Amino acid sequence: MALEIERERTSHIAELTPEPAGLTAGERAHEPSRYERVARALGWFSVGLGAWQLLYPRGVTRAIGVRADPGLVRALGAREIASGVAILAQKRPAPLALHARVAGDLVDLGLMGAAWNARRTDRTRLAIGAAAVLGVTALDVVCSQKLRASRAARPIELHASVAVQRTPEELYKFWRELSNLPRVLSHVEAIETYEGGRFRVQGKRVAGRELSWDAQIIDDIPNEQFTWSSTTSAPLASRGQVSFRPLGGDRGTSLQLSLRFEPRPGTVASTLLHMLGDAPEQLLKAELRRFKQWIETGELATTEGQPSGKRSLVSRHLP
Amino acid sequence: MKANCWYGKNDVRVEDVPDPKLLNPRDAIVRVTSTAICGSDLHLYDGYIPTMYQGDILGHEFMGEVVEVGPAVDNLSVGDRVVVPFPISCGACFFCSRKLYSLCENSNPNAWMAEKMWGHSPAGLFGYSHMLGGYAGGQAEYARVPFADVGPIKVPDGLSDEQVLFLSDIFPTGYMAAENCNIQEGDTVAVWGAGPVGLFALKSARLLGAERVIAIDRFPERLARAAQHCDAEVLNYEQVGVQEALNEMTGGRGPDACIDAVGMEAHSHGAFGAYDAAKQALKMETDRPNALREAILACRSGGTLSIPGVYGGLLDKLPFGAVVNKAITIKTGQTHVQRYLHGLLEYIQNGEIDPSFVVTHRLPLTDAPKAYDMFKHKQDACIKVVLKPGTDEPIETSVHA
Repeated sequence: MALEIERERTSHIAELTPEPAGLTAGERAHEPSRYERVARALGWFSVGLGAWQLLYPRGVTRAIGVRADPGLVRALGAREIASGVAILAQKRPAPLALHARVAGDLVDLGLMGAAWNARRTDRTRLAIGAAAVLGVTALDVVCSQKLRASRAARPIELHASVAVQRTPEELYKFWRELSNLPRVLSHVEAIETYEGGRFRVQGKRVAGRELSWDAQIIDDIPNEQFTWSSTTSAPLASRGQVSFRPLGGDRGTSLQLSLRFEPRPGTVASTLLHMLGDAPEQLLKAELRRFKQWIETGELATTEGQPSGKRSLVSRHLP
Repeated sequence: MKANCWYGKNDVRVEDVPDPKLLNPRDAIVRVTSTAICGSDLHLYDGYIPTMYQGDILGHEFMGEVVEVGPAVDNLSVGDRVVVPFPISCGACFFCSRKLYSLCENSNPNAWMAEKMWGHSPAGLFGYSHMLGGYAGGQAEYARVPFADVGPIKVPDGLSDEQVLFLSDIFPTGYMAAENCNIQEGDTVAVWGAGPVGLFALKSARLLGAERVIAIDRFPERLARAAQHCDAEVLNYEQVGVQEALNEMTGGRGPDACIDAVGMEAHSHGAFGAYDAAKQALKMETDRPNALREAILACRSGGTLSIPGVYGGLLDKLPFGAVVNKAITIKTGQTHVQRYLHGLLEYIQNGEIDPSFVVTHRLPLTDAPKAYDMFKHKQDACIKVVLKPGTDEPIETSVHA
């Protein structure tokens, strides 16, 4: 049933990596890049070195030929483990976590420098140790730069889903009437629709900047799903898909929304998106939840404006 | 208005706060005539429930008079006398349509917090942490009631506040706990904790046909009420070994169903007691599940374990091997209060139960801090406190059964 889109009409559709937007979680799991693997290895290195410092501080100082307070070495070990865990805890290691390692390397080098002139220092061993630290520092710096570069070029994919107590037909009807969407998507101010599945999105003002872009429905299966893509004139190449799958019995419909943005390096829009980090997916999920509340109950659950006793400085700003 | 607010561990204060307003079309505002302190409020008072913020208005057991209704509330009018269930439920989502009201998907504006902790979010509750909605509670002169067309039940004037107030939580909670036991002819039901929920569980188990009900507690006044009002046999766990006693009472088989009406702050002696106290103090476990451990071990093979007691997070040293090898069915959950309201109101109207038998203390709302302290330390044989807003006069210091 897919709407046939004529060839010449699609020629102005922005070029995106031909991967479809609506991927399952399994398909979206990515292969780690080479530098992400290096970063993880550095993370494990931190944990291992830290454990050695924590458990056998004298062994460490003997190896690098210095005399030092075991308490200090243990503290350095704890820091080392913390920076390792910070890298390993992330699904995709962030450049920032490696910066913490670099800072740690510099502290180590500083302490080694201070020990150079101490009376009982074995300078040969210390020089070898310092060279090793310098080598790892270089690797940390290179790795964090590469990660940063690959991040900026990576497309941003957002995916969220929600179960709604309505039929796929009802939900399709609501979503396919694109002028309804500003009521659902908070980053969209207005949508104007034109002939042939074309539409213009007026985004909410961000930091005083108005952003609007043209897009077009490129695939449409009534009552199941439809896909749209930005056109070449848009400042940000984007593609979106919304699908509606019955959950069986009286379980309603699974509504899945996928958005994919391809940054054009240096543009304001892409910088902004990257600054948001993980937040957009959370926001998207919250928006779908609000949509569900609104369609199922006719209102949005809120406590905004209810009374409370005096709030502390902290709790005043919490949700 | 005056409202009882949470400020931290062992710190609640009655403050002057703004009156609540209608915020949504399906809201109503209720002038609270009676409100109670729940045993689960003590988990907040003791600081064991995360995401409480200073200034939060407490209270999830309340009733009163409707003074304002939103434009979308078509079944209530100003002047109606209502009891308000503690879970906030939309009435329309997947769970509400299956009468699983405490699992409503649409009433918790902070669902993401609960999802982080538990995987999925249950319904929002009145006055019970931001993770569960952050709704202002009913220990106040007025309360805003969301989805007022679904939750509140109108109650006839012929019944006193204290006869119907506990429809808001503890009576349905005790009743659901008994219902979850799937009671068959001849069954023996043992209930850990003869506080208000335990008492209602004992009474409900009787109403549902249990042959014998056994109350386990250490406070003589609670056990006395269990014996007198619920026709229960009683075990004081400071005087007898619970498991041995239960075995002896059941020919060595154990009770057919066990109810843990204690929850996360169980008292216990000996090694397990010290172990849990130490771990909880160090924040290495959130709950002290000693009643639960005992109930699992005491329950007969193929029996049912029903848990109305509140647990919040992570539990240690649960004998789960016993659950598997004795084929025990576990049933639990926050109460789907709305499901039980009409049936239980009928029990009250027919005179089959008068829920006011649990009340020991009546105090003005302004005495809430004193009341929490007294309830926590079980001073003056305190079992259940009812707070009356809008008065500063002492009502009755205590009524002993």
